Amino acid sequence: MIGPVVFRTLTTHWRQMLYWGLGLALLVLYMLSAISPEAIKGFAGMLKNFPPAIAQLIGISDPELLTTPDGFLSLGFAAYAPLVLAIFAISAGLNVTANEEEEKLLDVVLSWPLPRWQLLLGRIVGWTIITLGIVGLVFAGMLAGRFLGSAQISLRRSLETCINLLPSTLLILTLTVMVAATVRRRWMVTTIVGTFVALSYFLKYLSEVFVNDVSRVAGKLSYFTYYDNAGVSLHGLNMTNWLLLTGIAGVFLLGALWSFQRRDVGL
Amino acid sequence: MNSISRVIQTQNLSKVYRTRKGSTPALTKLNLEVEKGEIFGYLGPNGAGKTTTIRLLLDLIRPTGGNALIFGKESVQDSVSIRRKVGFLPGELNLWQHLTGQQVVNYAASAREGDGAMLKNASGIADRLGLDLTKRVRALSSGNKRKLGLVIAMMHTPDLLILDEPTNGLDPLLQQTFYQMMREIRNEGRTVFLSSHVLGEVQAICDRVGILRDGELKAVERVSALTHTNFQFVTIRFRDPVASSEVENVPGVSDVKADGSTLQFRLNGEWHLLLQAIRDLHVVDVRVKEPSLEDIFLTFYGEVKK
Repeated sequence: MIGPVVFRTLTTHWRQMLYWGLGLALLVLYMLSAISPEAIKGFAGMLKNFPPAIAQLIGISDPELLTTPDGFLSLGFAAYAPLVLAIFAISAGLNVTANEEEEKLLDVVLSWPLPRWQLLLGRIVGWTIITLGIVGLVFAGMLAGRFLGSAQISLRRSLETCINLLPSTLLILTLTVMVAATVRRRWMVTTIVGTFVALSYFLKYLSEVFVNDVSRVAGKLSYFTYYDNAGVSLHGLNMTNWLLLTGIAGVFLLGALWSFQRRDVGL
Repeated sequence: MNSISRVIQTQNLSKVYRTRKGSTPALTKLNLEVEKGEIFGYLGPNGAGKTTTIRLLLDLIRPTGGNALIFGKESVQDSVSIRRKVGFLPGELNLWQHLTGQQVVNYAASAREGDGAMLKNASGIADRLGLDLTKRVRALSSGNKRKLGLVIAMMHTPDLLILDEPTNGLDPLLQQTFYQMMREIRNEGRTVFLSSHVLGEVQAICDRVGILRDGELKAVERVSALTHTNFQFVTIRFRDPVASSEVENVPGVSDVKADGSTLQFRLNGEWHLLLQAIRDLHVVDVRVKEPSLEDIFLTFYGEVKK
């Protein structure tokens, strides 16, 4: 029965949903309500004069895309939102086992009649619900921005942009849990997963700046490639990419369960 | 002793910690049996393997050899059903700082699918220990945190209590309350397995004691068998120089060393015979030191300490 674990995770950490969700929602609300279509066009024109490598580095893969409100939302918010959410996901992943293990709390919890896999799964489900809440708040921020501002973003694209945030966040969450289930120490987990995120972002950047076979292959190793905020803005949600990232998150989850089930706790 | 009366049974239970620097054996082929309805003391100096044994019994760590049966069930395969009937107090206790004592109790009760009776029991234990459950954990002293640990270890009336250094941080009056509670648990036919490095504590409440050193179980004895080794180290300073012969022949006195006006010796007998022997001497100062576990152990097994 993972219900009590899920409930406990939600009651303990619901504030995280508010902090992260409202923070991002207010940001997107400000962006959409404060900027007019004319300003967006002016901003796009300015960015056209940017060196491409610099524009790529700050997540602007195609300045032309900026000329539409949906494109502005994609490049001005969705391009770096997964980086912000990666920080949340690492923090959340550490809360599943690593924090309690390092603080010797896990000894107490695991002396209760609770299978290890239920503890892990229940907490991941709890954090997934919190992530859904954050994404929901971001969508609410977009709706409010759409209502208050003059930039008419597409409701459907806004929803798809939000849904597209889920798999990459869950991927980092489950990766963090899996690494924590293997190496235990918080600083080591943070370093490994943080490096993974930074390297992924860098590979995606390389693949867009240098167009050749090597960079193309390197780009495919980055989860940001499958996140593809610009593609979602132009063509809608890519279910193949969405399912691929969700599937990898599922593999990381299974890895975490396997590793945590068989190893020593609290050394 | 039949298998039903054995609450804990280990067979060649071993644990080797492997690190990058190499392997460290923490427990070597432990064969131990603890019977239903007894208070078993697990004695040993720090690093002897007491906590490793407890962590193996609770399936927090996995054995590298042998196995452990608790209530006749295998400790790894059946750990969840075992833990339903076990209460545990870790030696190094940490609890959720932001929660109140009552919230910690509620959390533990929900994990144990407890009802109102369990919460009422927790409240009763807290009252006996003088613990205020309304305070946040961060506001509790280390002794009060220990009390809260005891509450969540005992609230579900476990058939087996596993306590790692339970009285660390408890004041002497509360230690007596704790001892009384342990005796009550034994009288109800439940079992207590407690680790300690304090011989007095073990002598006060335990029926049997296992002595662990360097990861090996050296002996399992009834506590009464150890009591005859209950000696003290005595240092007496006199006003004038004294010879060792002043006390050498007193029954129970041994290992006498004379150093000017000071005598040092081991006393394993009655004080009045010693006091009679030195009644004509001018005593300036008397100091008595309780023997360490190691001293008791070496005496009991006739080993010579270098």
